[in-house]
Amino acid sequence: MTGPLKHPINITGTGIVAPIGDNASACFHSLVHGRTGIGRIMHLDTVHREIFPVGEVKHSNASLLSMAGLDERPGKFYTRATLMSVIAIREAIAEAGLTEDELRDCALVSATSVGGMDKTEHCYRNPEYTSLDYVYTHPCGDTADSICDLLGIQGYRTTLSTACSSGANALMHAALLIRNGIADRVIAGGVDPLCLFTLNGFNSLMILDKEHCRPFDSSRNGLNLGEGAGFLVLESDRSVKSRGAKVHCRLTGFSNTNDAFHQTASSPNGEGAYLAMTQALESAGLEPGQIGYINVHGTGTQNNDLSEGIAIRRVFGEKVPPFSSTKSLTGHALGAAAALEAVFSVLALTNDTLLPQIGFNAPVEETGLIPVTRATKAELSHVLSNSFGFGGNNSTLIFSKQDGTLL
Amino acid sequence: MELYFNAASAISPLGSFEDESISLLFPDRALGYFVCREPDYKNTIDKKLLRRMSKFIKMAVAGSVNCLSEAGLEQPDAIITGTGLGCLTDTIDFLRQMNENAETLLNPTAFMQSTHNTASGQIALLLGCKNLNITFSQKNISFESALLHTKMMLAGDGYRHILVGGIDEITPESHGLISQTACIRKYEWENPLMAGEGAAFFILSNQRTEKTLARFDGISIFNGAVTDSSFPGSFSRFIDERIPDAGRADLLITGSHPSDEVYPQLSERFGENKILRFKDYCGEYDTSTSFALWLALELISGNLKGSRVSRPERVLIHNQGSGPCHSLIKVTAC
Amino acid sequence: MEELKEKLKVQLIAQLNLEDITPEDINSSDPLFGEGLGLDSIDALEIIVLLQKEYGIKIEDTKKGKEIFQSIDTLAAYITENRK
Repeated sequence: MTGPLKHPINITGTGIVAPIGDNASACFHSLVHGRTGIGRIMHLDTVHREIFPVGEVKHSNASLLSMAGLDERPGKFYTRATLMSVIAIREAIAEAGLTEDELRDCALVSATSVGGMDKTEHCYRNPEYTSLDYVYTHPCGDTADSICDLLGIQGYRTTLSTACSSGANALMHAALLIRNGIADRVIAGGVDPLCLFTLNGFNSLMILDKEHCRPFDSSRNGLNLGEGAGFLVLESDRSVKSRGAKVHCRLTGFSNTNDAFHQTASSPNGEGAYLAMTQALESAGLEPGQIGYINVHGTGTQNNDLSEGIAIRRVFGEKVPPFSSTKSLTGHALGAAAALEAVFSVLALTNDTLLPQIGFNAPVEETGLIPVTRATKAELSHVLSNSFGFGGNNSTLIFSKQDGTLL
Repeated sequence: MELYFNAASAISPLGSFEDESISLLFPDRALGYFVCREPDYKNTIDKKLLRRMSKFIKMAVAGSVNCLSEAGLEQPDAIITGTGLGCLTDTIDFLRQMNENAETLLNPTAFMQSTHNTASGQIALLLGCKNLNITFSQKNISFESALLHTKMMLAGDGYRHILVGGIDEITPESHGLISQTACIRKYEWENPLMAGEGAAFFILSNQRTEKTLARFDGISIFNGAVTDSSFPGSFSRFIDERIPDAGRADLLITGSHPSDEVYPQLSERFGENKILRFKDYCGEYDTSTSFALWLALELISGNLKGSRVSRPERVLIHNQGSGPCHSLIKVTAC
Repeated sequence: MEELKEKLKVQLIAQLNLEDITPEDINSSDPLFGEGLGLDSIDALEIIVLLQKEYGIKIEDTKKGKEIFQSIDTLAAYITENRK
């Protein structure tokens, strides 16, 4: 991969809608206070309402519509994915200070696993629903097209769909667009709505916990689903200089590998995760000891946390950096998870704060790893974020402060 | 850096890599949509794996395995795919189960195989390939995004041969739904646009080998609306801005139809006898550009029977779909 | 019991898409997973759904499935004991 000193990827804006907050500062507040967004299902109409806790974004679609500054128009509807994305991106572009002209030429790299599925499942074979408009909003790529339409973005747009690592791969694609001079400014991230399809899907795989999830705990018994949208503004040095933009931090390392072990399960030795982390470190030109905090994938399933823990031990040995799973507060937002956690990683880095997780009592016997359970001030230079998905898909991102070893 | 296509394998309504020869003839239109003439998968995929696979996954895995063997590669340095609609059979199956069983007693297999990256994941699993593995899903530029990513990776260090492909499947039910919408552009024409499906895989490499089929000159993906503001009414001039010498191709393979806005400009620029409308052979689907690229490489290699075009040197591929984006890809014999 | 075992073989073949395998090919005492039929963890989940659908038996803990699903013999014995 391209060397670490070539074409830095600057982060100039972040935006987020998550179960723990409607913007980055609200999320940070919830994160440091360990305030969970997981609870009883409020908006999703399902027979499992009383059974499975989830991390829901605390707004109905009507409320999201007004938050996105949009009006209901006859013959035009927006999916939950589009609405959450527009809100998050508006925050990111406001923070980056992009003008309308600058926005028009941006590229958009989105990520999702189900996109408009919430609409599809509501309309498909529903005798009360005669319109076929859901056929247009069903494709994963429709969310990106709708976002571009609504925000006046005319540049290249695309969508990554690699299950639960999608958001990380979107940032990786965006970074390559900048490094290859194809785009100077890219809005990149991911979104996934809670829906019956994924709730029932994960239930059929018997990996949903009926209690609040407990990542990296010996008593962990599955995941809670979540939802949300997270987007970042990535810019080349040229763009930052020409606009005089403020750089928050940089995306310095990224890697995607495949576990090649099983369609849904992670390998016992965490090979794919190990390779993702080591290759990301290599791409950033960093040693493991330079990582100050890890935002782990940490879903709370038996399989993931054991496999990821073993991989972390293989990379970091006895000196495992402070780590936590913010999914204990947000639930697992699937295709958006990596994007939400990229925003959390940026928040941890820029605020010099180790983010805590909840639901931890005793470490996994095989790895003995103990996560951060109380927000702690720490001087951070580099933060690593893991995101793994079905199909053996493993991604690692590394965020770094602009100063230090990088310039 | 020069890049080369060193292998290509397709499964399409024209046939598959298993056929001794493929003729460029209009496939049967009786069904109202085109379906692939599939190979016998038992020749390429283990029976134990085959039992769960939908047509989508089978086409992807068999196409990849064949493509790698054509290139003489055991493992690619990365696996990158594009799909517009993903695993429709499994998605529809799980939706139907949810609907019929009121969210109870659902079979996990359909869900597990419904994610868009199932194909690339299964290919990795089969090959034991631990390298980069990603999937794009952006309607009619899904394959193009994959190809762009492939190109960018090959510009970095340590990558030589990348497997890149496009897959989409059609089912009677998906066709039923799509045909009632404007997802397939409707025209009064002797060969109206019909829905289709297919899988096509390629080895793109930064090394020329004795297997090299053609040189990859470039790819451009752009919003159709932009062409009007940059070059009002002059799409054909715009293409030269996107890929050098694009207009000098001696064959244009296009997914546009005579009723599309840009077609008359393309027709004027290239002349009707230098235009091949590829959707007459594979139908309209999101990753149909991958079929067009396969077609270009086959024509350059002189492998297709019954073609009025004989061994073109420089081929430009243009596609548009129901979305706002257009794409251009150029390949040259070498 | 024998009748149940034969029925189970037919149901497993259908549910798990075991193409080219007939009930006669499955020996009731043969292991279903690993060697033998070569089933995997996803098949185990499918069998859990089958037990609930066809026999009204609910298995909440996937780990328990390992012992129950050793062979057609163990599966039939568990069904006979627990069916409603």
